[in-house]
Parts: sequence; structure tokens; C-alpha cells
Amino acid sequence: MHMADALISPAVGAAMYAASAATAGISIYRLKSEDRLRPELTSKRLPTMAVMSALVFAGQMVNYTIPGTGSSGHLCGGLLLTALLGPWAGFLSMAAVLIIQCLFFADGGLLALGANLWNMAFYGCFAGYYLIYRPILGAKRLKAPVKLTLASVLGCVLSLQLGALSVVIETSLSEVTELPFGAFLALMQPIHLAIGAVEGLITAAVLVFVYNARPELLPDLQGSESSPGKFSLRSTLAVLAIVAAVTGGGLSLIASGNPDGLEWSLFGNSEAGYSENMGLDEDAYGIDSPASRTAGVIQEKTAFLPDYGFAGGSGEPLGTSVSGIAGAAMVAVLAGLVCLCGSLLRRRGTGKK
Amino acid sequence: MIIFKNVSYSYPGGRSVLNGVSLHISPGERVGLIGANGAGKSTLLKAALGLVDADGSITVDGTGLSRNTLPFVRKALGYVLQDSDNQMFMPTVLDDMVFGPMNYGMSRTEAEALADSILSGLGVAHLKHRQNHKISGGEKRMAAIATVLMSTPKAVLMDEPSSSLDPKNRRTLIHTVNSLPIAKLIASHDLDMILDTCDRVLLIGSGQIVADGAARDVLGDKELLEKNGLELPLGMQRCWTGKRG
Amino acid sequence: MSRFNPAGEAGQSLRLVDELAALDSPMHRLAPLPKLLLTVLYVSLTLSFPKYALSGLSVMALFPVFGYQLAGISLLVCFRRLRFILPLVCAVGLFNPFFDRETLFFLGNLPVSGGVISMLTLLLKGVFALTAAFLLIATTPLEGICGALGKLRCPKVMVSLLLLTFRYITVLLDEASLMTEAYSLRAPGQRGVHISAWGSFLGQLLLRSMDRAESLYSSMLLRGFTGELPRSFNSAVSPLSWTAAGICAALMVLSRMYDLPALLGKLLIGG
Repeated sequence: MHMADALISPAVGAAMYAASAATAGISIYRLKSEDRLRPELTSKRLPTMAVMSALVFAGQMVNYTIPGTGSSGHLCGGLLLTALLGPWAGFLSMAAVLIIQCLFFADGGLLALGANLWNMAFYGCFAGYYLIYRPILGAKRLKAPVKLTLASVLGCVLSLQLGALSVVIETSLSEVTELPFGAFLALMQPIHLAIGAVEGLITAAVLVFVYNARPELLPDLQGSESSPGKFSLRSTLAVLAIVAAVTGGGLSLIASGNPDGLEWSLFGNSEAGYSENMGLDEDAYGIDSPASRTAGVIQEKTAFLPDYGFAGGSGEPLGTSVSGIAGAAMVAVLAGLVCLCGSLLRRRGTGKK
Repeated sequence: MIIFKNVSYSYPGGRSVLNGVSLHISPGERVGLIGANGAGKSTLLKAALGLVDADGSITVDGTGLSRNTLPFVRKALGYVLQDSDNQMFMPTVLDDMVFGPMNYGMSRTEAEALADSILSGLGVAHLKHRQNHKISGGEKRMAAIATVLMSTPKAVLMDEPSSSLDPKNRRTLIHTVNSLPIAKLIASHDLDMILDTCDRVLLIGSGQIVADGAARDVLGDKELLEKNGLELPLGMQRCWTGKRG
Repeated sequence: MSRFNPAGEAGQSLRLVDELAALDSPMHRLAPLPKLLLTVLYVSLTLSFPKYALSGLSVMALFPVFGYQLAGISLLVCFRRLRFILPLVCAVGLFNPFFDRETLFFLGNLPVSGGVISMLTLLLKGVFALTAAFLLIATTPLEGICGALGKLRCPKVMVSLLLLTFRYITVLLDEASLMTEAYSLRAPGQRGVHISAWGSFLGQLLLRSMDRAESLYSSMLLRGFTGELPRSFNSAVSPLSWTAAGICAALMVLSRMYDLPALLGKLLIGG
């Protein structure tokens, strides 16, 4: 589910960065205000979050055999972290996991990080949690293991479906694929239904184990048993509103930042217009975060050259003509030469030593 | 230095770990704490540091342990954890060493100077800039001890300091421990190391002090040790059989 | 015996990156903040190339190639990581030739369709972005990157969390790897954890980790921890680093603005 950088355009990447950064900001704010009420939690939270992030990181590296298929499933961990730490701390922990993965394991990329945080951490920690996990754990009639299993499976399925949907939307808006939206969707959603179900079962197995051994580690279950019905409609609605606002905001940003892209997809592709309009957005964004600011600067710098690569003018796509290929070949030869020189120099260097 | 008066502690579940422990450790004294698994050794150490909320009175360096005196007590006592990985949480050894003093208000430059002198005192100056996840188990233990010494404690508490060390590192550790001029309370199953590092030994069994005496006396008492799930240290076995033959 | 142990492999590749980052080279000496910004700029510019701009894009290859040579790191180390990201990119890209069959130009007598070009562009973008990101981490320790994030006003909590998490990832990967080995020794022929042990395998590790967190917390408390790690990586960025990064950035923007390979080709062919 990790999206690679190549699947995303700078505009979509920046928008998703903004959305994820906003969520992280809200999470930090929420944790801080919780800490004000219970100061003894403050200092303990950081080590617990760090060790749990590390656990999920390690847990993702375990293969789980899916009975009867011969293939293996994996854990993503958003819902697991949220079940143990709560949604706000869970999101930040999941973010730590994804950032380190992005840096060290090339799972996803620097620019796609915002999108990956959104697709994997946001839905698991908030949508799966508030819409499914907590309501089900609040049910009075069911036994705890049944509730945990139901909540985990449904929660994971929902968050992975939403995540897959986001991948499709982000990729389509980035205009890197010719695959029609519907076909792409039809490819992604069923696969992620299966992946979500397996992840849900793994999460459920772990949570039931934890419940049997140390039930005090599952705060939501405790709450529901001591005071049933703690789940409130109000908080769910509040979160839904945030989701809607942020998603809507992100989408409208993309739309406003990339009008020609949308236009193009709406009005088809005549010969001349075909090669144009693929590139950069004319507007700088009003989003304020370090990442988006950097991206915004880049946008401004490059935006004054909208028709890049076809500046030859005559209508013939110069950029991909034979001369372009000859030039590219020269670049490849040059790159090879650089490598060769470098390795020769290094060999001489080590030889001298 | 460390005084326990009738200290008791039970886990939140209700299982009792410490059962009216009273003890008195003088400044500079070298005390070993032995006992079977689950006898309450670690809990006793944690109680002295205020990490578990025990009943009874605990006095450290003349100050009674309470919520308000925690910073003072924790600065006066150094604690070497059983798993050095849990102790060394910063990226590099140096970062870890300056962490404590900087929290207690020392400047980074001062703290680094102190770290230099402590590391070279322990003979591990080369560890200074190493990363904590890349140093070996033996080095990690030495670095952990260095970390603890940074707050210039008046006594140091150690939980299984020789566990998972190879013989050479274990010898280095014993040498290091013996060279520290401060009071020591060492909890361990490595009775030979206790014999080499401590003058006095406390034997703890089911939450109570069962024996308290000179190291040679307690560690040489085969019956007492075996009754408490322990065995004679190898060093004493030789003496013992030697006497017989 | 099954040798399938992803946790162990992950631990090894983390150590490899660590060792690379501990080397010394001009690339390593470039301060983390300019390096991070430069990498982000490179990735953004690379991804902003239009989908048919294969020739313009190709010049972007030179930056990572130079970077790796400057850092003294073999590009092959990085290429081994491509297997993680290329599947999805390929899956998406492979459809392009089928859906976009309009001929863009002729290579001799062979018609080249837009889909083929856009597929190649997509793949190259994936490869370039990855090599750049890997170059960043292979020449900068995580502490450096965290310091740079701190300078970019990333909240302290997040920076502390990243550092602590990274510290415990190696510990937990080792534990998970040992557990996997112990498991596979007793369950020969299985390629993963059997369903009967799904919960207990990770659950055990989880409970132990909770204890570890507790113990870590005490260790922090004993040393006067109040909620945030001190920021100790605030080394100033040298003007030289900024200058070097600035020149690189200018070259990158230039390569993005002008289709240098095409110009070069035109010069050569005289077309």
C-alpha cells in the first residue's frame, strides 16, 4: 500500500503533506491538552509510544501464513497502535513508523510521505477507530474477545478500503497513469478487501491475546465495561466533520492548484492540447507547513515555464523527438563515465592505502 | 546512606513482593543482594529509587523518600538497569551521558567535560561518540555505568550487572565496580561476582531479609543458600571441599 | 530449514545504512538541513516533469550518479532496494502502453506510442526519487535529519519520538528476528507464523515491549526526564554547505527548465 514517489505529482504530494501535517498538529495539540489534565501521563507517554512504534515496525516484518493459501499476510498496525495508545498518540506513533520506513527502507518516498501517512495512518487511527472499533467495543451484550475480533476485522477492512480508495484518487489526480479511474478502482478495492481482512484477523489475534494476559492495556475495553455507553455520538460526528473538512480542503486545493489538469481530463485531448498542460500548476498554495512551503517555493520557481519541453513551438513534440533520444543517450554515456571514473579513483585510493 | 524501615510492597494485583524489609547501608559500604528469581531483589532496588510506591519508611542520604524529595534521592543514587538497552535511549553514548546532568541544569559543555573524565576513568574513552545500537553488550554495560556516574551519585544500585557478559568483560566489570569509592548495592545471581565485589551480603527470600552478614559467611553457608534456591559460589566450593579433604 | 526471516533482513539493512552514514566524504560533510532541502527539491523537480518528457527527465539521472560517486557509495547498494517500490509503479505504468496507443514519433520505422514513453518516464521517476532519498539517508545519520527537522520547526515531540523509535527499532527487530528463528526451527517448512500462533507471537513481544517501555521510563525518570529530549544536535550550518547546496539547486532548476539532452542532441545531429 506504500505509494512510491513516482505515482504522485508534486501538487498532490504537497496537498497530502498539508493534510497529514495538520492531523499530526491536531494530535500533538490534543495530547498536550490531555496532559494538562493528567500531568503524570506526560513523561510516560513518549517512551511508551516509541517502544510501541518500534514494535509495530518489527511486527510488520513478521510473515503470517494465511491458512489454505500458501501466501502470507502482514500487519500494517494503525488500528493496533490506536487500540493500545488511543487515536492521537496512535497516529503520531504510526507516523514515526512510516517516516523511518520511508527514510531507511524506501517504502514510499519523500514526496509521497504525506500521502502515505494519510492513507495508512489516518484511516487506521481515526476512521477505523472512531467509526468501528470504539462503537463495537462499547456494545454491552457481546463478550470482550468477540467484540475485539469484530472491531478489529471491520475496522481494518474499512481503513484499508479507504486507504486504497485514496491511493486511486491520488494517483489519478497526479495523472501518471492512463488506467481509467473505474478500472483502477476495480483492481485496488478487492485486493485490499482481502488484505484488510487478514490484517484485521492478525490485529484481533494480538488484541485478544493482550486482553487475556493484561486487559488493563486496552483502555477502550476498560471504559466500556465500567461505564457502558461511554462512546458518544458527538465525538464521532466531530471527527467525521474534521475528516470531511480536511479531505474536502485537500481536494479543493488540488483542484484549484491544478485547474488545467482537471480541464484536460474533462475536455479530452485534442492533438495540440495533448502535450500541454501536463506539467505544473500556475498557482502557489496557501498551505502553511514547512514541507508545503518548500514545495510551494518550487512551484513558484517552476510555474513560469508552463509549456516546458515543447518550447520548440512548431507543434512537433521536440522533447521526445529523435534528437531528444540522442541527447538522452549522451546523458546515459556521461553517467556511465562518471561511475567508471569514480570507481577507478576509489580503487586507486584503496590501492594506495 | 540507605535506610529501610519495615518496607512492604504488593503488586496492584495483590501479590506481595516485599514483606517488612528493614536494612541499613552505610556510606561506602559494598553490599550484595542475593535471592532466587522472584524473591524481590529488583523490587527492593526500585523501592529505594521511588520507582515503586512501597509502604514503610525509606531514607536516602539523610532524606526521607517522598514525592517531593524524589529528585534529590534519584540524584543521590545511581541505578544500573539489567538491560542496558533500556538504560541507553539516546542515539550516542555521549548524548546519553549528558542527558541526566543537563536535565538537572548543567550546561552541555560542562557535562561533556565531565563525560570525558568519567569515560577515561573507566578506560572506555573510545566509546564517546559511538552509537548505542552499534556497541557490543560489554561496551554497553560499561557505557551504562558511565551514564549513571554522570550524576556523581553517593551510592550506586546495580541489577544483575554481570548478566550476559563474557568472562573478560565480567572481569573488567568487577574491576570497575571495585574501583568505585561509593556505596554499592548489587543484586545478582552471579554469586562469584558478589564474592569478589562485596563485603556484606543480604539474602532475600519471599520478600524478607533471611540473612545479613559478611560475604564469606553468607556465601559459604551451603544449607542456607540451598534452602533459598541458590548454590555455593564456585569460589567457595573449592574452599569448602578443600577444607574437607 | 526455512531461511525466511524479514525481521533479520530488515535489521541487517538498517545496519548497512548506518555503516554507510558513518563514512566520510564531501557528500557526508554537507550539512543535513541543506541536504534534506536539496533532496526534496530534486524529488519535486523530477516528479514535476510532464509524462512524455523522457529526454528532459534523463538529465536528472546525473545528480544522483554524481552524488553517489562523491559519497563513495555504489549505486548497486541502492538498486537492491528498488524491489520494494517498483512492483506498484510497474503495475500502474504497465497499463499506459495499452491505454495510450497514439504514435508520438517514429524511431526509424518503428512507431513509438505515448504510452510507452509515459511508462518509461514513470519508471525513471520512481528510480530517480528512490536513489535520491537513499543517498540522503546513506550519507546522513538519523540524528542529523532530526536536527534538520527541528530547524524546520517540526514539533519537538515528533523529533523526540523519531529518535527514540529508531533507537528501539534495532532492539525490537533483533528480538523479532530471534523469535522468528526460534519459531522456524521448531516449525520446519512453514514460511510464516501459523494461524494458531498469530496472536501469541506478536502478543508476547508486545507484552515484553510494554515492560521494556516501563523500564525505559524509569531509566528516563531517574535522570530527571520531564517530557522532552534535549535538542543536542543544533550544530550551525556552514556557509560552504549552503553555497554548495545552492549551486546544486540552481543546476537542478536549470535542468528542469531547459531540455538539455534535446538541445545537446540537436547540436549533435544538427536538427
